[in-house]
Formats: sequence, C-alpha cells, structure tokens
Amino acid sequence: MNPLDQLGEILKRVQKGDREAFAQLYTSLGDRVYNIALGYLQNPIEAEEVTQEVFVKIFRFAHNFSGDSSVATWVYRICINACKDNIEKRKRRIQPSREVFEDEITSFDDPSALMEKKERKQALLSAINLLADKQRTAIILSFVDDLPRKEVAEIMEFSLKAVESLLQRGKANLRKILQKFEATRRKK
Amino acid sequence: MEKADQKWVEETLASLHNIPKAVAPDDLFEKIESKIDACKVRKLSSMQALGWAVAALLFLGLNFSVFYQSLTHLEDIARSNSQSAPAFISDFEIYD
Repeated sequence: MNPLDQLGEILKRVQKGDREAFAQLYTSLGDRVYNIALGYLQNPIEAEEVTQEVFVKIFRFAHNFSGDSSVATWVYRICINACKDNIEKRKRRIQPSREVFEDEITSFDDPSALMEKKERKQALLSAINLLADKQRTAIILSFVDDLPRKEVAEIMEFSLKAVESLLQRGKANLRKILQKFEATRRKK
Repeated sequence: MEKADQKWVEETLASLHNIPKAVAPDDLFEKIESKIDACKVRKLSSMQALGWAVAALLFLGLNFSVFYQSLTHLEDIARSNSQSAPAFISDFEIYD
C-alpha cells in the first residue's frame, strides 16, 4: 500500500474516533505541520499552538474530508489557513512583521555572526516573511517542508506552471530583500 | 553592492535549498489529546444542557396543553349548559 492510500485508511479510522489511528496520523504528519507553522509564524510557541489547533480540527472534522484530494493535502490546507488566521490575529495585536524584520536587522551587529548558519537561516526566514502571501506559501511548502511542486500546486489549487512562476518571482524578491538587508547592515 | 555582500546574498539564498528541519516538541501530541478530551467534556456538558432545555420545554408544553384543554372543556360545558337552559324553560311552557 502506498503512503497516500495508507493515510486514507488511517483517516477512515480517525473518522470513527480511533485514537490509535489518530496517533499514527500525527506521527506521519506532525513534524511537517509543525515545520509549515514555524516557517509561517517563525515563533516556536505559536507554531506549537497552531499544530495543536490543526490536529484538534482534524480529529473533530475528520468526517468532513471529502476525498477530493489526498489526506496530506487536506491537512496542509488546514494548516495554512490556521497560520494565516494566526497572522491576522497577530497583526491586530502587535506591529506588522516588517517592523519585526527591521528589529532583527539592528540586532545583526557582528559581521562574522552573519556568516553563521543559524543567523543566515534567521535572515532567510525573515525575508520569506516579507514576501507576498502566495509567494510565501509556495516558498514555505517547497523549501521549508520540501514538498514536490505537484503537491504544492494541489495544496494551493494552482497549476504547476503558476507555482513555478510564483517560486521564480519569490526567489527574485528574496534576493532583493536580502540585498536591502545587507545594505542596511553596511550603513550601520 | 560589494562582491562580498553579493556573495553573502547568494549564499543565503542558496541555503533555501537546505533549511534545517525542526522537530515538533515531544509533549505536543499529549497536549493535543488533552485538548480533544477537553472538547469532548465541553460537548457533553452542552448536550446535557440541551437535554435539560428540551425537558423543560416538554414540561411547559404539556402543562400549557392541559391548561388549554381544561379551559376549552369548561367553555364547552358552559355552552352546553346555556343551550340546554331554554329547553328547560320551554318545558315549563307546557303548564302555561
């Protein structure tokens, strides 16, 4: 049985309230959901909360799964929507992410620290956060969660061509943001 | 832009292809399960509340229906009494 069919079978059992099957579903998709949430929210506590929310929804609304897409696609869509809702709530609570990014720029004082892998990852994730919504989703699913382009297209309900174009534009914009980031650091 | 800066930008962009993956915290599934249980308890208590509301409605409905029935019954008795009264009078007319 291929992994997709296996998830379908597991979800059928979850629909009947089978907790063991639910644990299996979490083992298969938990880390992926957590990584998407982390990519979007860039905050481990919020990512954890969203992952909890996603799996509670999966358990409660498993019977709503129509079977039009794969189980993983359905789960990723729930996750993306939960992340977007969380970002909206955050926007209402605190300042927009751009300001967070500016704050992070000022914290990069030591040029040698910039070369460190961790700092580089932080800069990259901050830059991803500044992308337009669709470009950000395509980049997170493709690179943070390593999903194949076809699956990204299915999750986003776009054609493969549209996703490739989003990724191309997303990368070009990332380059511009990183250049700006570097220029700001130089000025300091 | 200086060459070194450009190099940093390109290297950072290239690191997009090998972003290290995070692992969900160990106790996350336990937290999810306890949330599901909490939802079930809430659902159960709301079902109980709904049950009480339905019972109260039935009780009130039955009471109202009994009250309404007794009212209409009294009206019927009064009507039949008033209809039978002239008959009594007409009975007395025989003796006139």
